Amino acid sequence: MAKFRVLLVDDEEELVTALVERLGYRGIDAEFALNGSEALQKMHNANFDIVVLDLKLPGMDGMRVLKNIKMDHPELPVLLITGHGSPGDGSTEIPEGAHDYLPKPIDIEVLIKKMQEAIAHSGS
Amino acid sequence: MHIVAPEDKSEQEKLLREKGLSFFGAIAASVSHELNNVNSIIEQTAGLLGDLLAGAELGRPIKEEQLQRVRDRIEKQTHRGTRIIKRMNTFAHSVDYPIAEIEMNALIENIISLCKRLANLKKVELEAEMQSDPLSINSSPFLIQQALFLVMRNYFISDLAGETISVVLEPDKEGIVIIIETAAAEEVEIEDLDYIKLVLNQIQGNISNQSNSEKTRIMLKFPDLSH
Repeated sequence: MAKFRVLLVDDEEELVTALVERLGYRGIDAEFALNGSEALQKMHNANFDIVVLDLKLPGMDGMRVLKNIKMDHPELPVLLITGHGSPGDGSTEIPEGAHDYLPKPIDIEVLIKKMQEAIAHSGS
Repeated sequence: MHIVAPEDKSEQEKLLREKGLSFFGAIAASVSHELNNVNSIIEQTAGLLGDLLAGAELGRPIKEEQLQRVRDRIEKQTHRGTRIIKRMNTFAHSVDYPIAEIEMNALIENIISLCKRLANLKKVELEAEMQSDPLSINSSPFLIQQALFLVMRNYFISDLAGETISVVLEPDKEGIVIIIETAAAEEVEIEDLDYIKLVLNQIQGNISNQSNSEKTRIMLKFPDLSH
């Protein structure tokens, strides 16, 4: 699989910095944003192959960020991170615009596999 | 959602039980999310340590500062987790006695700490201004916390991003008052006012809205029920 660039969006700075470092050891170029506005700004300034987005964010919540991403980058795959089993309110449905979701705590190998699948799917 | 408090006593008790459980659930859900975040950070940090060790086996030496950073991060998160668990335990025990002697500084500081994550999700800062001396009254710790939470929740959902909500505890000749205030002039509509009054009625408390064009200010009064 070709190298890719990911934007991780989560307000837990120590979580995303650890993930950025671990993904870096695996040859994946990762950046992070701590809220939705910062994420949209970073996406305006740089190109990413995928976004990994926590649903619980301060200010603009994850669903609103997802809608904004999809307005400007309809083809960009987005993986959601959820605090618990499902994307929200007990529903197991993947929200429109998202490729898939991952519950926390995140298994890094599962994350990489899902990112690869999402990128491959978006390019097919 | 606006709830009209029923006039029938048994219906009131049923509503109090249901809404009390709902309040307890809201706090427990928020705490479980926060603990999950703590756990996630520790797990990724342990994973990072594993990556460093794997790198060392391949001849990439581990620097002392890398190990120090991992150690500091784990220590910080375990302390954070311990604080959250302690607060939740204190909150959970607040239902033990319907009426008890309560040290109000500790009670209010605890519920404010538990609500900070909910406030931060709305980009609102929550700060507590307590008394330097102990301030005790006899009342229901659970109902006081529920009334305060219900009022604060209205501030959280009122588009006050960037604002600070101050929760001030003061002595009063009959007991204590809690003032929930923000410098934002935006009108904070108190949903469930009927229900909040029902909660307050159980412990002879009352609510007054002292907002004006410059600030939003809601006052809750709780008498000492031992008088």
